[in-house]
Amino acid sequence: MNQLAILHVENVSKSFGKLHALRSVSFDVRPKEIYALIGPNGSGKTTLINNIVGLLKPDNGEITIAGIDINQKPITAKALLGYVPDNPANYPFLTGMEFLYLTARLKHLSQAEIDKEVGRLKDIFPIEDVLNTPMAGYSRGSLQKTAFLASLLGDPKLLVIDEPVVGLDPLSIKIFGEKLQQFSKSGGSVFLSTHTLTFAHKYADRVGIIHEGKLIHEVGDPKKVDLEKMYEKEVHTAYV
Amino acid sequence: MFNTLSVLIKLDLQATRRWFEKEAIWKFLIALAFLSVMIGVGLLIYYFSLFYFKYLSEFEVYGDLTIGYVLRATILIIAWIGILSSFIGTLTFLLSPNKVTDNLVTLPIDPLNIISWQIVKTFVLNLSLFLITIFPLALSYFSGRNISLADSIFRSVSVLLILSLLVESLGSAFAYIIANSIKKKEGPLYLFGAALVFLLGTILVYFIIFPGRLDILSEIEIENFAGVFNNLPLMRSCFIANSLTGILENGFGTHYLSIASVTSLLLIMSILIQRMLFITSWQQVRLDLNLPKLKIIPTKVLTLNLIKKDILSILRSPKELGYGIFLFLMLIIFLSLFARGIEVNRIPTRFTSSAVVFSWFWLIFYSGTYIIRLVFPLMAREGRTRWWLFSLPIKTARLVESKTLAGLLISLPLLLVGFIEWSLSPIGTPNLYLLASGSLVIIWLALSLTLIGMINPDYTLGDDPEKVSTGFAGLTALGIVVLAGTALSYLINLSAKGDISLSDSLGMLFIAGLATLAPLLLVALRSTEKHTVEV
Repeated sequence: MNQLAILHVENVSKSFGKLHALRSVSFDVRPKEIYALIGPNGSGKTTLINNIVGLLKPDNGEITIAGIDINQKPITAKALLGYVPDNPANYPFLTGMEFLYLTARLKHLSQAEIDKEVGRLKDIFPIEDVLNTPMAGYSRGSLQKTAFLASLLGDPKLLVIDEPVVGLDPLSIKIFGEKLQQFSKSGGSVFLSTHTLTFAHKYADRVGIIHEGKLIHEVGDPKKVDLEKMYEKEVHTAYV
Repeated sequence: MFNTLSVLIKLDLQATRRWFEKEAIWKFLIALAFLSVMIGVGLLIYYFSLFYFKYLSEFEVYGDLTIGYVLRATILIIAWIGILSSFIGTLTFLLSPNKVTDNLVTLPIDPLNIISWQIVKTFVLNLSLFLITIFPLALSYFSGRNISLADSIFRSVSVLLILSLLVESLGSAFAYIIANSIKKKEGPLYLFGAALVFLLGTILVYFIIFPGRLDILSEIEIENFAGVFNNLPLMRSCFIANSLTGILENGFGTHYLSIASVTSLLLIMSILIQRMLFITSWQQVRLDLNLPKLKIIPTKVLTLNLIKKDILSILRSPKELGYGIFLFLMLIIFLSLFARGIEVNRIPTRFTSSAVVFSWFWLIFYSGTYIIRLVFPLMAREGRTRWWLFSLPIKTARLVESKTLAGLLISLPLLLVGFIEWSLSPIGTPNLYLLASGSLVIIWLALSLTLIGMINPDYTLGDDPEKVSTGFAGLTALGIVVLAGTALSYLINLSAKGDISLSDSLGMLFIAGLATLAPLLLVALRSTEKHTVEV
């Protein structure tokens, strides 16, 4: 195991009946790194993320966050995580602001910390007015932004984000990417899955390609390669 | 129009058929059990009223008049509950956006189809309510009278149909007017106004049935009795309950035609109002209703925050709140009128223990229904938000603890109903005992049903808690309520008769409660632990 890794995934397999969703997947995400996972629909990206955040338990293998096994010590490991799912459905009866306060409370923040953090976060996206209305009326983009803000509460060491930019407008995508970079520069790590290769190309430090539950290729610096061509080639080869 | 309507009705039938496709045998058994409960309730009402009517018929003039009065009062109460049910059902439909109706609204079809579809559904629901309440009452009334079976059924069915259409017409039209009037700022005013109308209406129904003059009837001379009796508010011909009782008493006649005409007229007017207001009401749903906001007060206690969230999920959801208020009001209306009825009629001693058991069983049955509807789905409702809840650094025990306590808090108003019931009820057994036993059972139901709801929650139905309550697990829970209610009613019966001491009975309830809650808690904990990682 890489002692420096914030996220360490080793030989993780997961099956649903006869469907092998993940087959011995291993990789690390280092401190201050943005790792993007790309792959076709149904390749196992969301299953892998669900295993990482503790929503699924792998059949085999080990997942640790800053050295803490998510399945052995889930509470300690989850305290280091911030998670944004693919479709962040939320409590329709709460306002976005109430949701942020509630999440902060449940992440054990004190009142002073909550006021400070929420005050800081609500300015990331220009959605302060939206945050004061019930989430029942939110667009997908607003739900995505609210879930992202909630994931940043409690000083997480690792952000796990499934499809971060689906449903976001171009300006929000830019803010989102820059925020992730800022987060990683300040010491945090990001693990995200995406279909948007341009986003991975622009903001990721490393890219992994997953196909039929296997991590088939890793790219050290995506800015130096033509990611689209490489993706097509790798997935095509895997198909063949 | 009928083509579209039949397609929509077929859609519902298809959904019912699909529901039976998975785990068909179990669902069939549960449906059978549910049907048995309905038949059981109907039989209970039938035999109770049969004995009571037979007892009353021993007193010639007085007895017959009293039977007529009981019929009118029951029809009025059930009609009032029916109007309330239709009003809340329609209002919650209009205030809770759903994708099926959204889709229908975008299609080139006359809103009349959608309205008629809703009317048919509420009509069937009301009809089934009346079928287990008014129908057995009417049959027990006909028993021993010189009326053929066919005529008895014709008269009873006529009353059921007219009453169902009548309450649907009035309740739905009122709901449309209120839903359409809710504007951003005035929203709460209209809702409170509607609640006030129903509260005043309930008080009015109470005083119509139990006016002060009713108490002096037993003291007046027999020759003056009929005169005073016929002047009681409920006996006035303007009341629809009076006309409907007329159908039961006299069959087909001019009063039949007049009430049928009034009902048809009201139905047409109601449909016209609904058709006129449907689109604007549906558009209104999209606006941010200025409903009363309850701030989450940040507290340091983790569990308290989760409890607050669960309570807000009821208070801020028009559908959940509507159902809660409806069931709560129904329980208050039924039990307070029943208790007052016993007092006014100075129930003979031989009926005392039956009356105690009857009202006790109803309290438990309605409480169970309330808890199954609002509290039982608390975990299943997390369906689409599990990603958030289960990825938080919180222990499973905390989640179970918060859900259980939230379930208990949401059920607490039921204790108030028990208090009202046993304070008003003049029946022999010490009221303090009934209050204590009723409260114990309500607390047990709240805790056990919340825990059962956590054992195998159907997260796929999380967006529609109503389906969780009426689904496989919900019906199983209802079966448990009925079984427990029956067993406990037997225990209360023994206590009411003096066969076992009251302290022994309370002790048994307490021990049985603890003995069942402990394993349920363990299973719920294990199950939740499993669910948090096996989504």
